[in-house]
Amino acid sequence: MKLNVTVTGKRLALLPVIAVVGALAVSLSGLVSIAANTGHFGVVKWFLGWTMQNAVRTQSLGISVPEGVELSDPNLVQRAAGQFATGCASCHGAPGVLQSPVVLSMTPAPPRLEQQIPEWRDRELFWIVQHGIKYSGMPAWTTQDRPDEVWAMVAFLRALPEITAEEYRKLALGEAEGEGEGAGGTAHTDVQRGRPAESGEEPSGLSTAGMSDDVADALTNCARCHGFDGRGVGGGETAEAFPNITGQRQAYLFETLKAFASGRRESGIMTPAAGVYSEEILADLARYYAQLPPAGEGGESGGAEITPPVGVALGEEGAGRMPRHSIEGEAAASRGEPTGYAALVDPAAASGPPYAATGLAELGRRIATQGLPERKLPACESCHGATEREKNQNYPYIAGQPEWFLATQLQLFKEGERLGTPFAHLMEPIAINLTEEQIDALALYYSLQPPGR
Amino acid sequence: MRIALADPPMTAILALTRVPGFTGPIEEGQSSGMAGGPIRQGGQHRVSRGTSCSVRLGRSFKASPPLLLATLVLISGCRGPQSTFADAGLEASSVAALFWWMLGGAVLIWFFVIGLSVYATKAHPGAHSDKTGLRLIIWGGCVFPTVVLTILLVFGLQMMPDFRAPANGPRIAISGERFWWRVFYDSPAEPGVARSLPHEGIESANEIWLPVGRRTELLLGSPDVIHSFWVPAIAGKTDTIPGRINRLVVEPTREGLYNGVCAEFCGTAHAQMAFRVRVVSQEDYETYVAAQGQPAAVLDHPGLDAFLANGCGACHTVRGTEADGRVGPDLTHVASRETIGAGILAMNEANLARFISSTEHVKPGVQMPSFGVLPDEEIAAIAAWLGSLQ
Repeated sequence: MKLNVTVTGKRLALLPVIAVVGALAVSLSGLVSIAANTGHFGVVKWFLGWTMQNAVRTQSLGISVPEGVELSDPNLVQRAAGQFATGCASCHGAPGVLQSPVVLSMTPAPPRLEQQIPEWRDRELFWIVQHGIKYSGMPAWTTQDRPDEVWAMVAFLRALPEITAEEYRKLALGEAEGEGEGAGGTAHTDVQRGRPAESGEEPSGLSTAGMSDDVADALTNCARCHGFDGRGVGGGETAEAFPNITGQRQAYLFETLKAFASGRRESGIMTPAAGVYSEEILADLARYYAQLPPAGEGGESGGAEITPPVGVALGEEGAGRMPRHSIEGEAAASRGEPTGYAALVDPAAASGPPYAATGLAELGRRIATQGLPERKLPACESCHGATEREKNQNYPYIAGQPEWFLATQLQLFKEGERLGTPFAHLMEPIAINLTEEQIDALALYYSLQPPGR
Repeated sequence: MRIALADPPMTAILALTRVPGFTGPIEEGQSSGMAGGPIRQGGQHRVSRGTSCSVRLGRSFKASPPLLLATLVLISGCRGPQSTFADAGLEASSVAALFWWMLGGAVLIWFFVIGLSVYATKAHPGAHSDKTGLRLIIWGGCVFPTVVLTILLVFGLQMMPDFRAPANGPRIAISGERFWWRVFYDSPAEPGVARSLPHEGIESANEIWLPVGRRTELLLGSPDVIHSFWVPAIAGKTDTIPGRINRLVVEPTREGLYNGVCAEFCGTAHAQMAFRVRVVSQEDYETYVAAQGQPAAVLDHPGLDAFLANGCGACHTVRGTEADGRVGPDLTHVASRETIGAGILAMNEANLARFISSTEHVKPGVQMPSFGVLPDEEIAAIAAWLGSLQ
C-alpha cells in the first residue's frame, strides 16, 4: 500500500493547530493519569529527573561560595539546624527522624538527604534551597533576598551526612545533654512544654507563670534556636550562630515578631517561625524574652578578643560575603596599631589601605560614638546607647550581637530592604551613606562590646 | 566705576499694561519687634516665590487677551525677590545694565537686518554690482561685528575690577548640602583646596543675613555633590564644589528680603533647596549674629525631652542642650528663620509639626526620615519647643 501525501505550506501550517486541538481533546477527556499512587512511567521519570538536574546545573552557574566563607563553619551549621527541623525534616526526615509513610506516598517521594547531598555541588544545593523545584513539592525559600541564610542551610546540608541522631537533637531541637533526658519526669514535661526545667539552671527572675500551653509550645520552638535564656543555643565554637534577644525591649520585640510574621522583615528562617502564631502569642513571646535580664557577661567595654571572622553576611548586590571582608587576609584577625601608610590615613577615609582589625574596630568606635558628620553619619549611640534606649523603648540594643548579623542588617538597611518596627525606616538614610568598610567597622566594634550594653 | 541702573524699558512695559503688584522685594509685614526682625507669615502654608500670579488687567487696554496674557506671564518673572532685575546688589545691577544695553543693541541690529532684507527684496530687487556686494560684506560682515563686539568687551571688562575689589565686610562660610544650606558666620575658612569647610563659627542654616553696602566675602563649599549658590537679586551664581572652597564677594545695595536657590541639579529635592537672604543695616547685622551665637532660649520644655529621647540630637545641634549632631541643620535658633526645610514651609508651629511628622511628603527626596510614628503629643511638644527657639 502506498500513501501519497503532498506536503504543502497550508498543510504544514495546519499541523500545530491539529496538535493543540489534539492535546486539548486528550485533556478534556479526563483520561490523563494524575494519580500519585502509580508514580511516573519509567521513561517519563528519567526524563523529568534529567531535565531537573540539567536545569539546576545550568541555572546555578553564576553562584559560588562567597570568598573566605567556610561551609564547615559550625556557626553556619548551627544557624540553619533549627530551620531544617522546621521546614525540611517533615518531608526529608533527619538523623534519628524517619520519613512519614504519608510523605513517602508523594510523587515524587522526597528523598532522604543523607545520600543525596554528596551528589550535588555547593552552588546547586544553594540554587535548590533558594528557588525550590516546581511540580515536585519542594518549596522555595520564603524570601529571595537573604542568601546569607541559604548559605547557612547549604552548610548544614553538607554536614548532614555526618550528623548523628543525638547531635541532631542538640543542634536542631535545642536539647542539650543532661537536659530533658537526665531530669525527672515532671521537669522533662516542662522542658517539652517550653517551661524551663526547675532545676535552678534558668536565669533568675524568669517568669513563665500563667503562660498558656499554646504560648509554652511556641516558646519551645523559639528556644530551639534562641534558647530559653534568649542568648542562643550552642556556645564555644557556635557562640555566634544567633543574635542575642535576651532583655531586648518588649515593644521592639513584639513589633519585630509581627514584621517577621508578615514577611515585611525578610528572613526565610524567622518568617516561617513567627508566621504560624497569632499576635496574642507573639505578644506573650515578646513579653517573655523582654523580662529576661540583659546579658551583661562580656566584661569591660571593648575588652573582647578579636578572633577571625566567622559566619556569612549579606554583601553588595544581594550576594553573600564574609564579614570583615574589606580588610584582606591575615589583617582581618590581627591586632596591633595600624602601621606605615595605614597609620597616616584618616580612618574616616571611604576606602583606605587595609587596616589591622584593631584599626577597623577603632573606626567603628569613632562612628558609633561620634559619627562622621562629613559623611552624613550620626553617632549610633545617639539612639542605641544605654541611656537613649531607656527613653525610647523602640530602639534596640545592638552591642554584643554577632558580627555577621550586624553587617547583614546594615547592608539590608542600606539597600532599603530592612523593614521591621515602625521605626526601622529611620536607619535607611543613615545606612545608605555607609561604605562596606564602615559596615565592617561598625559590625566588628559592636560585636566586641558586652551584650546588651 | 559704577553703572547706575535704570531699566526704562521695563518701567515702560509695566506702565503700558497697568499691572499692579509688581513691587520690589517681599512685602514686609506690619509687625516685627526688632528692626528688620523675622516676619511671621500667618496661616499661609506654602511660601510663595516671586510675585503674585493673579493679575487684574486694566480695562482700557485694547490688546488681544491671549497676547497680553502671554506677555504678562513672561515679564512676571522680571520682578520680585528672586529676580536678576531686582537691583539689590552691585553685581546684579551691572549684569542687568549689561543685559539692557545688549538687548537695545540687538533690537537695533534686528531692525537693520530686517530693513536690509526688505530693501533687497522689495525696494531694490535684482542683482547688485560686485562692488556693492563686496562693500556690504566688508562693512556689514567684518567691520560692524568687530566694532560691536569690541565695545561690548570693553564695556564688560571695565565692570570686572568692581567685582574683584577686596571684601571689607564680614566673612560667611556657606555649605551646600543635599538639600539645604549650612551657614557659618565669622568663619575661619580660607578659599582654595580643602577637604571640607571647617565646622567653626556661628552656625545657622537656610537663611543668610548680609549688611547693606558692605562687601561680604562668601566662602562656598560642599560635602556631597556640586551645588550652585545663587541669589539672583544680588549677584551671579557660584558653584559649591566638594573638595574646594570657592569665594564670592557680594555687595548688597538695598535692604530687604530676597530669595536664593540651588542652581545646579543635585538630586531629587534640588528644586526645594532654597534659602532666604535678608539684607540689613550693619547694626542689625551685628545684633543678629550676636543673637545667633547665643545658646538656645528655652531649655526646660517637654519638647526638649522628646527631642532627645527620640534621637533627634544624633543629627541636629541645639546649643545649650545635649543635642550635638552635625549631620543636619543647627536648630538653636530655628524659630528665628523665615522658613522650614530650606524654603519649603513658612515658619510656624503647625508647619514644624507637619515637617516632623511627614518630612518625606512635604519635601520629597529629603535626607531626614519622617517621624510620623511618634505619638502626636510628642510631635506637638517638639514643634512647640522648636517654635519657641527664637
